[in-house]
Amino acid sequence: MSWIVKTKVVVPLDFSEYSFRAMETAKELVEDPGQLHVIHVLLPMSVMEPGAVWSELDDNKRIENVKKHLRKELGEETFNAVNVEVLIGYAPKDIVRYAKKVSAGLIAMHTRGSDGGHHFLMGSTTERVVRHAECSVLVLRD
Amino acid sequence: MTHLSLFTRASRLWVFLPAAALILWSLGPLHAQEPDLDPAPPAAEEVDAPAPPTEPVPGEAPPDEAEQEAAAAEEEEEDLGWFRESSARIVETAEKGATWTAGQMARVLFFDLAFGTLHREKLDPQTGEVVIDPETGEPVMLETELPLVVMTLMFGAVFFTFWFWFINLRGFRHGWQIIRGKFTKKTDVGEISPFRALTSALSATVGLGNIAGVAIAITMGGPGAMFWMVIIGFFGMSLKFTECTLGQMFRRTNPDGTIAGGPMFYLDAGMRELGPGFARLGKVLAVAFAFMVMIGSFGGGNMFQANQSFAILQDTLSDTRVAGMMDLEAAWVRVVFGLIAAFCVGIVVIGGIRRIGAVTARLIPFMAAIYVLACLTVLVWHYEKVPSAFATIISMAFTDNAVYGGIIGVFIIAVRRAAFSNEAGLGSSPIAHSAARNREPVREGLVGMMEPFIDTIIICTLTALVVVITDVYLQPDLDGIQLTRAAFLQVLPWFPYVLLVCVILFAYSTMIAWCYYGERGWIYLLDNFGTVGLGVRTLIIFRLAFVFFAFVGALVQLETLIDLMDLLILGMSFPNIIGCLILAPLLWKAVNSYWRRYEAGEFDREEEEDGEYPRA
Repeated sequence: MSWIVKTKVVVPLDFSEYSFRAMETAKELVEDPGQLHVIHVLLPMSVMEPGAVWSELDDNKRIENVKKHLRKELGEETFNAVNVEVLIGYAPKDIVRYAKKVSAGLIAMHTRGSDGGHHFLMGSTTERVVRHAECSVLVLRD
Repeated sequence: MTHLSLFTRASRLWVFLPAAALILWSLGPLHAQEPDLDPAPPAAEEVDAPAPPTEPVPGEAPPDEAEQEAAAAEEEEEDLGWFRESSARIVETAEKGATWTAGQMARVLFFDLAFGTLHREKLDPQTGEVVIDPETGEPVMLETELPLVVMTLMFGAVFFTFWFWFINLRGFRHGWQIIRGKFTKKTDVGEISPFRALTSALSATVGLGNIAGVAIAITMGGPGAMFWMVIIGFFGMSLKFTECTLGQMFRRTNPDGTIAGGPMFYLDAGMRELGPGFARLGKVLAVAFAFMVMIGSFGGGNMFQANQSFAILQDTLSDTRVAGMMDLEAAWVRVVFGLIAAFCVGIVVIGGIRRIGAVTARLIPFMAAIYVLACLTVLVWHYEKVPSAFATIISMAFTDNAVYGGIIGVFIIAVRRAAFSNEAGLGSSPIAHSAARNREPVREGLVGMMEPFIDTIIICTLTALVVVITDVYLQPDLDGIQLTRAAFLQVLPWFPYVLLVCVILFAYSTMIAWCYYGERGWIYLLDNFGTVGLGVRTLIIFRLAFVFFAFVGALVQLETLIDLMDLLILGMSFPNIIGCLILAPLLWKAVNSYWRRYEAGEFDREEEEDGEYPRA
């Protein structure tokens, strides 16, 4: 595991319990939390979403809200130490693309995500990331 | 800057290509030409007639010029001929499809609880005599049915009124306080303020259901139908209270601040709280609702609005010079209007031009006020007839008037039209209300409760009074919105234009709002059976279908549409009301605890302690 110590690790968080578990594992793997790149991918918002219609909610505000939530969930210290990125798009694609952009050596994910245990072997996002990632993917089980 | 962003957004309009392809495809030749039922063929013949004018018209024009004109006309005819013909075919196909679907759905949802026992002879509205079928020589029978869904809806409304012991009366004042923002804190979780949530929900509710729907109710059920509509609106307030409270109780707040709520969520999550057995039932109901809201959004929130907008536009234009230039009854006019309607909806829902949706939503309260003022003007104009109009409405509600199918028949018509106009029990407005900034679910229920009040008890009653006072409902050849228009026309010649603007805007905002409701159903379904995110990514399919149905709506005749859309709309209420009834005990506790705190003045004290409430 020695190569991991220096490499950049992307941890996709979807606010599920499992994704935070993956975060814990990733933290143990690396030497410095600065190597961790936490990413959350939001789905695009509908034009007719009430918040959008009344201009009380837009994409910037959504990103801000997610960061606020992440700060709360991760704790102030961790949040400041790691790199946080919130994107709007399609999770599997953007996770892979982001990993490439930061030239990460590893993506750490859990088999399960926010859609619970629907899928037989793996969560759909994890499945797609494994298939398309250009770096190693660490897939955690319970 | 704004120009640029508009341009980049407009570039997204490529998605119209599939829609255009779909429409072009339906323009193609049909296998066989069958006798047309719509007004298109006479129009085509009319245009055909001047096509081979071999003799020049004697008159002002010299012969060679007239010949040229004729040739030009012929050329034009050849150019447009295919369009006229295929328009007629499209209209016919749409008509057939709608009738067939309505027939299939009616078997289940309109299952007659009276088992066909309520039969009676039909009477002629003018003479009051029994109508005899000229072919068989037997009196024509009028069948009154007790459709399953209609009865469920009525039962739900009455049940919840008593279950919460007339919450619609005792919570009325408190409801207005909440709408004014008295209890809303900035820290409350939600997307928009309760007032805005109400406006959003109203933009879907106040539509042609209030203007055309009431006229339809009066045509079909006589003025007495209006009385029952108000009564149902009153009971419907409790039903709306129930669903909006549930919507807030079991909404899902996402980390990005968006909120997902509505019957799919409270049926699913709410029932899960009751135990594993209920959890499965809840899931089934939630999925059923999501499916129904999806197809329901095509009917009442879309096709009916497009249809009646076209009807009023056609009617208004028939008095103008435009009528002299072209035949407004022709099928191709419908097709063109359908395309325009589809484009206008598509530009928001597919093109993603946010500003239009935002502007229409903000305009709705003003348009509603203008409409109410216009109605009041008509009433003031005929002020001496107002008492007698009330008397007519009330007396007709209780006379066993065989012309309209007796008290029960009128009542059923009223329930259908009322449900369509105020959406109580349909489960659509909880989707909008769950986004409201609120920390007490019951409060949003009290806000939502105002919807049937504003919608049915105020706007529908005014429309009905206008129609009854001007006696237009006695004219046999008018239908739906045309009736309301005729009533307005009696007072001031330019009044129908006010109506036209109101109607088009109401219809437009309703279509956009319903597209959102339908979308939520689509997302829920696909996220449940597929993976999270699948619904949003495939949303374009739903939106294209929605836009396509806006087009279809303009083509179909009102009579064909009305049954279909009632089925689609009322179908939603079925899973929703069953779920609400099962969740009633759970809700009872919540409402009672809230009410005890409210009566103890806890909220007023809270306000004093916190100092000022930042108005959200």
